[in-house]
Amino acid sequence: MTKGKKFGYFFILPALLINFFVILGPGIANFLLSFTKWSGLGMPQFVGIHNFLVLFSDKVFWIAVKNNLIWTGVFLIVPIAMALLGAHLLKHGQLGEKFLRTIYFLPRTLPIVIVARIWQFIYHPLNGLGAITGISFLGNPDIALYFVALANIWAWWGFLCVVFYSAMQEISPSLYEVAELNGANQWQEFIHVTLPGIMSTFVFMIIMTIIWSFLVFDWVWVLTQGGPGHATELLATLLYKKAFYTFNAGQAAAIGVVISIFGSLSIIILFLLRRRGWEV
Amino acid sequence: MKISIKKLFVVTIVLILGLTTFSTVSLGQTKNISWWYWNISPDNLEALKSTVVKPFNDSHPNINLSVEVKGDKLRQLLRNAVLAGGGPDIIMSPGPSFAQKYVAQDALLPLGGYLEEEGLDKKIFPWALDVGRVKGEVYSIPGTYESMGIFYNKSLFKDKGWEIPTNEEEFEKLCEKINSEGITPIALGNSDWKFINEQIFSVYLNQYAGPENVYKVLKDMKSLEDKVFVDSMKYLKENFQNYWSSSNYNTLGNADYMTLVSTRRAAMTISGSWAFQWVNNDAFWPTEDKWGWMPFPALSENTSYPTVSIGIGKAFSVNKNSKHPDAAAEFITWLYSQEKKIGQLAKKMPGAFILPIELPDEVYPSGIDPAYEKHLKIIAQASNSGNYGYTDWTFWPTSTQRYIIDETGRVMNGRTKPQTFLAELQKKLEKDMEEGLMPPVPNREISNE
Repeated sequence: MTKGKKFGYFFILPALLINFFVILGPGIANFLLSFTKWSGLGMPQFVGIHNFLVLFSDKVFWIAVKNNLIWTGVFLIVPIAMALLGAHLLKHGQLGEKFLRTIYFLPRTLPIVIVARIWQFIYHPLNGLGAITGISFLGNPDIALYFVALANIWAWWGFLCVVFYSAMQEISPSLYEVAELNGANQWQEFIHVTLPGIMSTFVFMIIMTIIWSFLVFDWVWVLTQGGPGHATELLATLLYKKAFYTFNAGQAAAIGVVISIFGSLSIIILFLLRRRGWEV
Repeated sequence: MKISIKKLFVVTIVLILGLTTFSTVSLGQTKNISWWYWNISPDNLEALKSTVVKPFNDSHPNINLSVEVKGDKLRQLLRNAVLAGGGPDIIMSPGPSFAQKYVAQDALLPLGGYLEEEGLDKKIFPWALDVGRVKGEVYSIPGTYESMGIFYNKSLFKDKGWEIPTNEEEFEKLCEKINSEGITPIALGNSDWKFINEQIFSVYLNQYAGPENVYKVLKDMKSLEDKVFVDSMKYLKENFQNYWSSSNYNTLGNADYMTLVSTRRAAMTISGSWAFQWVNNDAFWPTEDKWGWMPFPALSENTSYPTVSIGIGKAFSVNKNSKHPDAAAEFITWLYSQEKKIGQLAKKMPGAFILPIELPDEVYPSGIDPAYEKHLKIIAQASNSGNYGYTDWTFWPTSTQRYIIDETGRVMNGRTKPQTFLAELQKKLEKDMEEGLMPPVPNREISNE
């Protein structure tokens, strides 16, 4: 190892230390706690895989897993499609591109708790859309999850749009000129020039969407707290309830491990793609 | 006069050392104790400070009590702080079942000696002392106790000539009459507070199956799968579907359903003593209509009228990590011996601070709302006679409580059958009993069957 390279490690040491103490340490502690019976106070007792067995036999856990998978599916389709379309239109638009980018990005900068409360007012059954349409957006178990997701999508798609738009700026204009000379229409241009040009960003955002979808907590907590009747229960809300309402910190840690497994799966996919030569 | 720099330096050092020593000694005599509070409105906080905190500090020059508002995060903050060997001197938990968890980890100090010293063991209602006992020692005493009842639009009732129902038949007839007027009989929603599910569960279980049967369940003398409990949940489901603002139950907040009652779009709501704070607040009760309170009607022959289900809203304990446990206990015992101030709190913070002791008539300040005074007397009488219902947040273990909160809504909207719900609840309860997680349930006289 050269002297310069060794010196380089010195510069990343602070970040590594922070990661070690703030992420790796608690991560390992959580993994170990998932094999214990622990109320959150006092000494944990080792119980092997008991917490996982209890979880896997709990129907609410499977409702949460199902809801998380639906949530992930929705977020892999709706905001990404909206963001791609928005970014494409921004790139080819003539006016107000900077203004629109700011507007799209703005919801991402607002505090989630406040925005979620605003959405609660929007859906309100007496003073909001609920009163006009007669639909109980957050109260009907069949649709509540989708309307919580809709509120989150509103804040999320603009961020994706700006990320995709930035990636599109890197595509050489000559590629579009060639496509145009070959008679490609807008759709063909998008499929054969734009999408391959932003593929690394696109795949990265897909992976991050999967990870973030399993970590979602605040939107659901503020809007429905997992109700009605678990209709919007996600793994993160179930974890919180186990940890702080029923003093089952061991089971909560086990849910944390399950969330990490889902996140890790998407990271493994990322590595596999890289090994296959994808530039992601 | 010429002073050398050396002399000036020495004088300055002596002065600094003198001042530091003086301040350390004088501050060292003051015992600073803290009390973490959850959500409280600015008006109530002001009332608490002026009625309790300031008089306590004034009468105890060597103790300085401070209240810190922690809001919704109090549970988590308490747990983390106690786990780390810190936390407030006075621990305010949501009730005995939570305090029990802290006792299991040796985080609280027993209060028995302090209470006996002040004679409070004779003054506090026996049940309120009993629920705070773990292995015979009192570790928590209620900071407030509460009951479930019905808040209604008194002006609307008067205009329509409706009578207060006392039994199932009268209750159903009244709801039918209200329905026929195009008014919703009962407005309620859990959008702000999912725990409303457990409140409703407690009300219907006690008012239909009767407190004695509920007591038997808690003492492992009867199963929740018994027909009387199944019928009570069926009755709740029917009531919910026929008489409640059921389609909006999951989306109405506290201010919403109270407003519906005050604006005559609904006639009644079911709530606990804490709602006395709301009916006096324009944000919840925006009209000139008068409000009223009544005990929930007896829903079967298993229940006498009036029966109130009682529970503990907050419980006080002394943190074992406290540097000044005597000062913390001094505050708790002082508060209980201030009958006049407790009366003032009843006026200034109705529903927020009901200490479990019997107050003589003369301590109720003039101007206290008569409906609230009536409520206080009814629940005090129920407490004293031992004829009360059992709310799940006080008399049931925490893991079972969570199941009730999560599943009662599914029973109400027909997604889970009452039998299935109660069978699962019985299993959980038995498991909690086996593990010794049951909060203490004071003994009750059982009638001969």
